[in-house]
Amino acid sequence: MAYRKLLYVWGLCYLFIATQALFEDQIGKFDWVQRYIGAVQHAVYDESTTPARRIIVTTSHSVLAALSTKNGEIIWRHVLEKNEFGTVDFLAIDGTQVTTISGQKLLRTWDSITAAIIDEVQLDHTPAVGVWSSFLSASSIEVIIVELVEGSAVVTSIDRESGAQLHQFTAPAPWLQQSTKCAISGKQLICIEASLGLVFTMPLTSATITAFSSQPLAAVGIEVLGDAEETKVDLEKVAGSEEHLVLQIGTHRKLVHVHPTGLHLVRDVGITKAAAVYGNNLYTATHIGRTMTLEAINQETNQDLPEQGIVVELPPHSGTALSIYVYKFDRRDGGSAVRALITCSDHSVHLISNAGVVWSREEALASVLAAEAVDLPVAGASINYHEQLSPHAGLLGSLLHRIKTQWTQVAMWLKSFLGSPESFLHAAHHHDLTRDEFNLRKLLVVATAGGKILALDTWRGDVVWSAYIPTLVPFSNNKMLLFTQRTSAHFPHEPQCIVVAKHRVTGEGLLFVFEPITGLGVGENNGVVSLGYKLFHVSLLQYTDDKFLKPLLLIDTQQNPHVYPASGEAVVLEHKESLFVHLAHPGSTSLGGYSLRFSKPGDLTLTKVWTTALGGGEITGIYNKPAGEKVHSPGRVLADRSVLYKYINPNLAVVTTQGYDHINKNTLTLFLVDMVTGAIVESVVHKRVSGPIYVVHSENWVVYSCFNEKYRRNEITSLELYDGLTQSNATAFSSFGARTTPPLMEKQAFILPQALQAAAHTVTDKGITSKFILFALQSGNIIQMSKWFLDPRRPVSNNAPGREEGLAPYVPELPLPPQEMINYNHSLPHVTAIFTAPTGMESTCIVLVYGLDLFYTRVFPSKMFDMLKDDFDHYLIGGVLLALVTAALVSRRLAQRKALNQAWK
Amino acid sequence: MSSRTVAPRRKWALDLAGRRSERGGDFLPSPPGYMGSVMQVHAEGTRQTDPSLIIKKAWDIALSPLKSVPMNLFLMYMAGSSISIFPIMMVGMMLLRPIKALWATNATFKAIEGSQVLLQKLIYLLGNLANVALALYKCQSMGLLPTHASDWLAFQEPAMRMEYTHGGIVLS
Repeated sequence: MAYRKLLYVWGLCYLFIATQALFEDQIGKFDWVQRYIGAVQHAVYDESTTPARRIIVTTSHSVLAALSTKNGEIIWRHVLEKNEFGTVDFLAIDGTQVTTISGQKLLRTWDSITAAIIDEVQLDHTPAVGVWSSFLSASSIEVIIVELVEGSAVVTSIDRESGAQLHQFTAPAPWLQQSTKCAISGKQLICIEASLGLVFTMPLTSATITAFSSQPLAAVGIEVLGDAEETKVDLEKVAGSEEHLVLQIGTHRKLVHVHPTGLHLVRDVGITKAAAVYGNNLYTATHIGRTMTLEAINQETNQDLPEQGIVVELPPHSGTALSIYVYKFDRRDGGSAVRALITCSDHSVHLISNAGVVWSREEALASVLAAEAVDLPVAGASINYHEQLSPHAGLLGSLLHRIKTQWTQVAMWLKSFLGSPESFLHAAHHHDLTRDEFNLRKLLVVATAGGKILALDTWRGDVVWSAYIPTLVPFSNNKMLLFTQRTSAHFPHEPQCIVVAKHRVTGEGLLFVFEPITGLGVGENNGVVSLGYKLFHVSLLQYTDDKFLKPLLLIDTQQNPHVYPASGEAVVLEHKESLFVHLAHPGSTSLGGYSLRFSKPGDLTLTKVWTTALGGGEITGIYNKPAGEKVHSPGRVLADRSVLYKYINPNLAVVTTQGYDHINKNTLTLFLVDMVTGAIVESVVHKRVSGPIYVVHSENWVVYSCFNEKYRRNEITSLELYDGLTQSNATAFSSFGARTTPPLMEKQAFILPQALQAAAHTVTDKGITSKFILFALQSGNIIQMSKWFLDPRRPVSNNAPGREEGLAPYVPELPLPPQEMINYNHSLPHVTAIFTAPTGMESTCIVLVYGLDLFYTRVFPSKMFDMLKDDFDHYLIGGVLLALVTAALVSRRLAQRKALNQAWK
Repeated sequence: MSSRTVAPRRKWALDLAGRRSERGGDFLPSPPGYMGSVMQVHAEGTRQTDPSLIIKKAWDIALSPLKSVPMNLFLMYMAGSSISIFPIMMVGMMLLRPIKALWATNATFKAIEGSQVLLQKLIYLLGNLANVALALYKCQSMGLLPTHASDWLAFQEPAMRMEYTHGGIVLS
């Protein structure tokens, strides 16, 4: 019976929602996918063929991949686990057999050609208590793990074949500090303690219990001057050699050779960035400006090999070189050639040869943290004057505005005609970046964890520009904020975007202000603004100043508000009565609300106006509504044609708290809090559920997912808030508006057959189009689910009013039909977030899914109601029309002639 | 036959002169019941105006909309209240016909003069209005009239936002 009911509902679903599957010929027509691997950590050349065809790499994004030496394409890629087993500590290759050790626990062997896993051995090793750091080394027989704990080093030797522990010993090291730098090199553990001016070495050969022996740093030619505590100390491994190390103390950089007897200085490598060894030769890389110089030295004869040196120009904004991996091979004509893989601080990788850069990979795009869609500038005269018109302008005002705008356009056109260099349109034309008719083509500006800002053209996904700010790092919760301060609509003002993150060294706030079409910094210091204080919170005000710029409100750790640019202070003061701030510290249980009401010119202050203590444990998330969201429909039409008005409170935020109940089970409490007054509008408690929680909050609804521990399944709950059948105030919404009754809440939970990686909702220009909720599933699919499926008003019984309203009867399981997977067969691993943005067409929303890979497409939540289908046959329809018109004209003429002839008979 | 004639003739050509004597039409008797004098008398009779007849005719016209009300009621009942092409067409006709008739009131009563013409016009007007009302009632019962708040929902402007709040979990 239930089965039949389910079948019926499924049928109904398909009746209502015509499926929108992609046709085969539409693949790649308006979507693209870009595969990445992340910042390379280890790399080895697969020398089973000559010359080597593959470079096996492991990355910070737990990826093991083979890159083609020819063009840099990914030959194969394994995305490993997200947990500790995904972090590869060791990579080696023997013939075609690749060995990785990940999480100090799993030794895996892979075939470099087929990418198949050959063997997996679990190492018998439990980490010691209070480990500061650990190091790993492997040979063909054993795996040695060294763990540094307070006062000693624990050395564990594990059999490589079986994973069984061979022996373990603890070497006392009373001098050991947490800042001590150590490395394993040539079967020895090397530690540098700069404060003592000593190098400690300990052989790690099995079966003999040994102790540290020390050697002064002066023996390798390093004098520690000044404050040893503050000197930068580093030990870098040298690719291609187990027995070499680069020792850095302060500005000294020395290449040392590790002998069983101790360290021997090989060379002073002062200004070089990285070193590598291949065969008998030592290669050092110097990176000055964009020029990368690779010098080769024969180690035995100690003479330069200029024929193996490389001097190339790396692509602009590549950061500094971090490590190089060199490979030398004999060419067919008898000569030898050198290839070097360079990893840079901006996460990019380059393969260089003496002919230049062979290929580059922009791996910064594997760690996108924030995205923003920027409208391209319109071509010359057709600038839409409506977009900058204030809605209260009136008839005369809009006429004047129009004349003024068109006069500026004419003036700018004349100026550009006379060759003035000021117009930003020129730069855009340079890349042939102009807005298309429907504003479907945009520029996606992304901020990445490596401090690189890039702009992608949505057309094909090409990188239009990139900017690397070495000092820019994300906040410690891996967040980077990107805002559009001014859109392209305010011609002749240039659009402006801003990235907010922190300084790499000081941890203070750092801004990068730039023009998003060209990527050039705005203002002094190339757009990089150092704030001089640490940040608590940053947000973009919705009010604009006289230059259509939305000021940025920054709140420092002393809870003092600041405004960027400083001219925005006037905007804040003008609207201080209606500006509020809410803050919550991670781990706290209460929210604080602040007002800017008591600000004076030159002295902005936050005054605490309310504190709301929330039950249910620590606050784990606050989800505001999207800024500047447009809601077109203020209510829903019921079956009896009355209106159920939506409770659209733009100041409402979802606050989640997670804690334990009286029997120590996980609970999740969801509060809907009005963030102006601090009033709790509604709350929902879920017992025995755990995270991760994904919340989508928009209009008058909240959709969130969590894991139900009792039934061991993923559940999605949908909440909707309604004002009732009458509206208290239809023209304005104020949180202080008197309400006699709380809003009505409808809620319903559904079962989702898969766990989620991310969730988002579609956004359209006017908010008329119905919404899709996009879920990134663990399987790597992105599914578009109509909000209709998640309607909490779906009736439990199949009754008449529900049918009249177009509601399907409630069925707990949500369908995941394959034709709703917007990324069809491109599985997307490790999705960070889904970014959606409106286009000029009301029906269309652009989607960028970022994470390890980038995926871009368009979605049509209400189908293409305002444009012709992609496969619309213009030629056929036009041809038929033309043929019909011609036929009509010809037959008319013929008929006329015939009638005339008849008349003459 | 035409091959025998010397000059080609059009097939529809009538010889009104030559052959009549051959046919001997003048000598034919009149058909039974035909009296040439009677028609003359009848024509003279219609030309005379009969005032009572005009008034009767005028009342007929004035009352015709009212007379059609029961018929319309029956039709409406038969049409049902489902929204499909035929009921919509019928309702549309019912609504448009009286409105058209109302516009053409003066034209309808142009030929008619008399002392009661004002009253007749009023009755005619009322009858048509009754028909319009009936049609509107039908529209209303079919749900075609925008009388609910839901019908105007799409035109409602979004509410203005009075306060703005910014914030969230602090960045660490």
